[in-house]
Amino acid sequence: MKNKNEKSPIRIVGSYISDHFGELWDKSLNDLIEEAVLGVIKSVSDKKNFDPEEIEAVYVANMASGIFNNQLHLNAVVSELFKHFPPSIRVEGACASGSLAMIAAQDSLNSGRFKTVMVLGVEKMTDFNSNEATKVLSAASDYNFEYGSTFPALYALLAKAHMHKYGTTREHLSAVSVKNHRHALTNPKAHFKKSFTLEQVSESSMVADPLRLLDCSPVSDGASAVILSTKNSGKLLSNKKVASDKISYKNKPKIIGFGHAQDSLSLANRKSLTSLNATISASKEAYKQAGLTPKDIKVAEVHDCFTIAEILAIEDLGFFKKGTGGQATLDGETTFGGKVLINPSGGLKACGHPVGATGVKQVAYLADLLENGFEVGDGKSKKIQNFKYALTHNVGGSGATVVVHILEK
Amino acid sequence: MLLNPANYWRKNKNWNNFVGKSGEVVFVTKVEVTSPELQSFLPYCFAIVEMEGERYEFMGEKGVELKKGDKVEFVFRKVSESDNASLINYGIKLVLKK
Repeated sequence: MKNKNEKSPIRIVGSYISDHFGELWDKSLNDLIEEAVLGVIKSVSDKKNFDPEEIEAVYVANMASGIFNNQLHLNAVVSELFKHFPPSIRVEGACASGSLAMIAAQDSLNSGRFKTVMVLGVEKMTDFNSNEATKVLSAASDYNFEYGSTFPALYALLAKAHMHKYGTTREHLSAVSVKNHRHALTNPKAHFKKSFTLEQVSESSMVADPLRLLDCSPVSDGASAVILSTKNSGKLLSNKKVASDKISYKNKPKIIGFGHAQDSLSLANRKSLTSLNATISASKEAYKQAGLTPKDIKVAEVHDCFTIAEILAIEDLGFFKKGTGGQATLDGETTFGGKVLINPSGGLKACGHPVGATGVKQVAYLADLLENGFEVGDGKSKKIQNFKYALTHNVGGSGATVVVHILEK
Repeated sequence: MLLNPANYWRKNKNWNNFVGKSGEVVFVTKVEVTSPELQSFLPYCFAIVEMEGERYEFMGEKGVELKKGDKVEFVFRKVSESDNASLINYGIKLVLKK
């Protein structure tokens, strides 16, 4: 018999990612938001029959709409799309805004305040050119202490430290980019659907040495949304007209663990430059809550804003011994058929990085993958690969904020 | 962009902790792409520097090539371009110690 005080699990009952991420000239910030709201509602129901009043609150993730779009009341922009104007809160934590909004939503569900909420992440960035966007994004660093830095420069320093201590090479960095661009070829949502060779990555233009253009995630437009619920029985929605087994709760992935950790904003104040300690702490908590170890995870979306960031992530999350992440990537251990599938979506590098949307997109993408599996092979050899668990890893700044989620099918 | 004098002072009130002192480069990168107000300094180095047991992060002066282990001096230099009506933005940069 279920303990009266036992919490209901939080399930990801609906998910949506923009038609695709990219340089979306025809879509405004509001267009992206509206598409994601309608898309995620449609993912759980026939739009005609769904009563959106079941969304009791909305958590909106965004980094810089105040600068990019002159819009600093984003929670209201989202809420007014519903006839019942649900309570709405905007959450900002640089590139980790999406996963922080997830945590805020989870807290509201775990407290019992709400039973069903929406988390929406969005960023409309490409109306600024890349130099202007570089300036906006640098606001996620320590402005006073790191004056003159850019995000590529900060991650370049981390790459230099990793290369110095562990012998990580140019080829190792390139292998991350090549692999993620290859993965994105099968993702219709991806910003880039173009493969590159190791040589092309290694010879692309320099941004901040050793990081080159093809080591860097792009400036993208996009939105993503999930519907989270603690309802645990019956049909997904109370609307009687919706009665499909396909959308019953038991088929929906649940969040079984998460961790959130912080570190210093500036690199100079870090204890280590070869690990993101916040990743280590956040993942430790997430594994503990889930009752799992890194060996149990066979698929993950990690924060590869730069190629070195993925190498740091797969080591700090415990998938590979410290210092071996680059070689493991080059050896094919992080792609299909390897030890752990990293960034099947193409990651930030190739799927795109609309900053506020990224953390929500990671969860949306993996929830869909857990529910439906991943189609591998072609022709007669085509089959569905299924996963039991999945992990997301979302980083703010150069590692000052890290959130890790673990999902179960 | 017009620089607010109060913010300018707040940002730079610790200059005297650095000017004339020296440190050692821990790690350094050469920046080739940056924000618009720093374009005229490209390429420039950005480094983590150790001084008296503490670590700091600074830009190098334009054209100064730094590498790990170099001894550097903290100097007072213009750190961004501004329009004609703005304060000239000065701050700390790194040069190789003579």
